[in-house]
Amino acid sequence: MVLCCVFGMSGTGGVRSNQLASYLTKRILWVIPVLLCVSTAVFLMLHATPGGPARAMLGEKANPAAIERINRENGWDRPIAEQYVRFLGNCFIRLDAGKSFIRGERISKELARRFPATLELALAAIIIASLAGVTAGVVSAVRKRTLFDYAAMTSSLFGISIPVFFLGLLLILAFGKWLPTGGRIDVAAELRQVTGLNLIDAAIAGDFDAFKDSFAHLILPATALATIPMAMIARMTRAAMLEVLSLDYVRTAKAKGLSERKVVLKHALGSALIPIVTSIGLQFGYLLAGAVLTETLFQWPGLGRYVVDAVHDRDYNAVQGGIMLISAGFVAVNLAVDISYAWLNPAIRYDGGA
Amino acid sequence: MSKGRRIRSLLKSRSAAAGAAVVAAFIFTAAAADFLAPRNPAAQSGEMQLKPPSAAHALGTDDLGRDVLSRIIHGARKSLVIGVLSVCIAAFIGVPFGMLCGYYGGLADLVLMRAIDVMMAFPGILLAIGIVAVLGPSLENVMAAVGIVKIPSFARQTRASVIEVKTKDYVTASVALGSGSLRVMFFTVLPNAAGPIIVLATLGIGTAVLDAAGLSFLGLGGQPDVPEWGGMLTDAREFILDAPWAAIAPGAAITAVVLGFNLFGDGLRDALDPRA
Repeated sequence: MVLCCVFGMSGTGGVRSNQLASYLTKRILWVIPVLLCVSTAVFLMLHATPGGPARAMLGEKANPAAIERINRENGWDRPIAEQYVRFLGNCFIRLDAGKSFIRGERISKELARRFPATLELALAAIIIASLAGVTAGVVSAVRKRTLFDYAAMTSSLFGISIPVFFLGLLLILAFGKWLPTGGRIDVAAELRQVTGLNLIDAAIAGDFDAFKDSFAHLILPATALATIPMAMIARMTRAAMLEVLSLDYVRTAKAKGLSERKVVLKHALGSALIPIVTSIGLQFGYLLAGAVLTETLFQWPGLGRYVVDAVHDRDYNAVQGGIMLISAGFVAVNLAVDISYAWLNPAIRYDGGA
Repeated sequence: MSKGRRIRSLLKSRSAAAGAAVVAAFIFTAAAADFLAPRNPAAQSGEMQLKPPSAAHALGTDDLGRDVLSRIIHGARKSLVIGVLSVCIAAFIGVPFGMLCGYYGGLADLVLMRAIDVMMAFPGILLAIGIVAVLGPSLENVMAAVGIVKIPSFARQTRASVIEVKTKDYVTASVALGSGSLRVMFFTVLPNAAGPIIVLATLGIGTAVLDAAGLSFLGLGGQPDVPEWGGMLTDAREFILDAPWAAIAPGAAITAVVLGFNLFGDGLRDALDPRA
């Protein structure tokens, strides 16, 4: 809505392609104020620390000279407006988050190294969650009010109620004897990093042992991380399928004498797919961020654990960099979801804002 | 639907009744923890470390020889306080904002709702971690963070309900009778828009318990002297293979309570909203 006013666009009337184009433009432009606000919040976060970041790092009784030195080194003694402009420049133009206070390494480099780990875990989890969730949802909807339906919906309720770190612990307890429970890879052999996704890199290198080992390391954390999205996707799929199955054209298809399998999989699932795909996309966004707990439990060297470690170390530059990157990823995934939704769904009229 | 029928339909749903029973048991345990706990939850024992469940210790002991059952019972109090207070923080800020936006609309609505959109552009757990990073690790700050993260959903839900209710005839009638805006908002609109907000609050206590346990698991809950389920799970993690009971007990407690609030909340929604 606000963007309508700002850019003088009105989504009402006109042909669909125009509407779609104007919606997409607005939706894409909306990312700019969002990222600006996110970065402002992350910037202010640093200055909201009690007594300022240097004192928070060094403690209550810190030597004033040491505080002054840290402030100078990090540019925290400059006027706040200048710091803000520099921060925005670092975020969006130089893509640099400065140096880690504790480890001294360049934060951007470390983030780039860790991003593939989180991505690999989230991708594995969303694949498990989508396959299991959609299957359970479809069967539940078709076999409504049967034992399967009740069992699937009860377990999905469990899935959203159980803490992911507790489920992970139970998995370690049950399968820890056979499967690795920490880290990404054991093999001492150097795996040449191409994509950063170990599974794909191992496949490219044709290194079967490394592939097997990375796969084994992925199983438990990905399964634990998959539970919540699996439950959400199953519920969403069931609801969407139930709605479609009661529509006239599905009844017509059945009345025509088509097999149930064909009606369900082709006619019904086809049109229920839009909300399902949307919910999968949204869940993926949450996975990127929500992997924090799973990464901590399984000692997975990803972004979430980096941020948590940095919080413990009061390594504020690293906290800021990590939060900025994860949030930007989240914003990007949501943008992709909205765009594909608009693309897929011909029935939607866009007369609101983003 | 009359009030009586609503309550009857709520109780008729077996899952909602089960949820209500769990919630009631949880509140009772939290309130009567001092009487229910068989032992002092802080009493350590050098000889009784990591002992499996027995007659003396129904759920075994932890690494410092403390009675796990007593710690679970006392932990209920902490979890209830965290869940309820963080939902209160979210509701006390989110509901008035949502009501103003929904009732008056206009520029203020536009600006506030965009602000909420921006807040929702942060993934919840990350925002909470950021807040705790600033405020410092402690259970109180975890509670505040969990509450702040929930503000947008309360504001949105309130706004949507208020927009729906304010077009009703009885609101128009109240305005026509000369009631002031505040009076209409609080005495006519809010009670009729409260249903979905109550559902949100009920479900919200469950997720607040879950989120707080998660932050505490990450070590952001500080070092509380009182037992807290998420923290207990973290401590027990190191001994998971030797003493699984010390981890399973708090994990199961969190799961049961969250499940209870989810079941009860879903039942409330069905009872309050006949369309769902």
